[in-house]
Amino acid sequence: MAWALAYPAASLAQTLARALADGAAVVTVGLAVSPVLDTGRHRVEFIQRATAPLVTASAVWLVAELVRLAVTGAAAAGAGITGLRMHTAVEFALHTAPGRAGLITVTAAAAVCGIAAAAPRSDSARIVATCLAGVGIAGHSLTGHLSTSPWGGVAIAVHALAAALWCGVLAGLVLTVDHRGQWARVLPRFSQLSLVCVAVLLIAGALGASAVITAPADLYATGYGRVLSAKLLLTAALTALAWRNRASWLPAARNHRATAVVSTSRAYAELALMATALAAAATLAVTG
Amino acid sequence: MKPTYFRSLVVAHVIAAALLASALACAGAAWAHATRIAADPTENAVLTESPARVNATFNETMQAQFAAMTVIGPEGNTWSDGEPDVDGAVISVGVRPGGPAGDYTVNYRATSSDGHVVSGSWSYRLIVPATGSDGEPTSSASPAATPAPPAADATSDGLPVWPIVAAATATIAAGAIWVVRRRP
Repeated sequence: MAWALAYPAASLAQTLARALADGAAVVTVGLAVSPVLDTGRHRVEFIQRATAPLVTASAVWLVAELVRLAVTGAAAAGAGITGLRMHTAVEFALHTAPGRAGLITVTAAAAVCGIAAAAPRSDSARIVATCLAGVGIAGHSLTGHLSTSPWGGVAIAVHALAAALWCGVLAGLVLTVDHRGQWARVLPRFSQLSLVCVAVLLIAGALGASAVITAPADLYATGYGRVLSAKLLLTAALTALAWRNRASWLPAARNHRATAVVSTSRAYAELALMATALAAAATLAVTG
Repeated sequence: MKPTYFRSLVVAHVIAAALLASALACAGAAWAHATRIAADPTENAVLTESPARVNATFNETMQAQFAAMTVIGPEGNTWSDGEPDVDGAVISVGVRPGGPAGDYTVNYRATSSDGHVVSGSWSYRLIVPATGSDGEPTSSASPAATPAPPAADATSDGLPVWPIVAAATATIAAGAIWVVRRRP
């Protein structure tokens, strides 16, 4: 859908690879962070439960990054993905800015995957893994439109990190929380975290967009502008839904009145909208 | 729900809207994507003498790697000479002398500093034929075809990348499954 909006300015293979890499990176960040929302002995149990999804998510992320590097390398060399040869790919990865940024994210994903598999219970290792996942997310913005403008680059990196925390932690909760009592403990904290994230993401996103969009007509006349408009609408809808959840689901979950099934389905509804927004974001990044 | 949260969310929305509105109000001419802003010879120029070089100027610095530029003559032969030269925002390539009269098409493809691939073409017309060689037949029949990359060997020699990516995918998947299964 997002690709169609940007057509003919975005290539489908690049959009898909980017969307998969972004999505997996976001879930990885969320799974690494979400145990922090629980307390005391519950946190240890949470970490144990989050390990298998974390290994899986970071492995998907690593594969997606490798594919993305190959697809962008092939596009730069003007070859099809099957026609790209090893020495061209190595030259692309080592000597061009997008190639080097891709190498950074591949390395970050591999390190997170390794840490999650080798030392899942060590606190310091988890902190390192979280930071590396953050580096991977920020690294994605190094290859976007704003990589050449210093303030725009910083704004988009902050925007991406806030979005990753908001969406990723909710995804992490859906994947690991299956108990009413646990929803009661983690949801109020998630609610606070998400509020900060939404505020940061709106401000940083507006700053970044202002560096690219220069006239109101750009919002519908260009592929970039159309995808940006879709993202604005999605964000508005998402904030409205999140606000409604905050007003009804949060008090219910806090008082143990919402069953785990209700909580999970609410979280899924919010996640579905988030996934669409992330796909639009991925398209935006490759629209040129 | 706590009213302070609501207030901070509203404030964030208002700030974001104000930033976007002010950005739209102070509209400039800049556009973030790399595009070609000038060409020599100019598009649809009519020349009496074949140019020694053709060049295209972009609105931002281009990456020296993976730049490609070819000049295709009226009979579909290649008249560009050697590798294109990238100097900041200008990409140029030499043109061999002695081309026939007719329409020439310059095709280019390059990666901008933010990693986007920019490609396109423009044409000029030579009205006085020069006598000389006939140019090399192009590998492609269509004069508007995207030029081959400078590393044209990208498609001819060396290991292909996709089996390596596929093997890495299989290894990572197997490793992840093993780790997940091993855990109680």
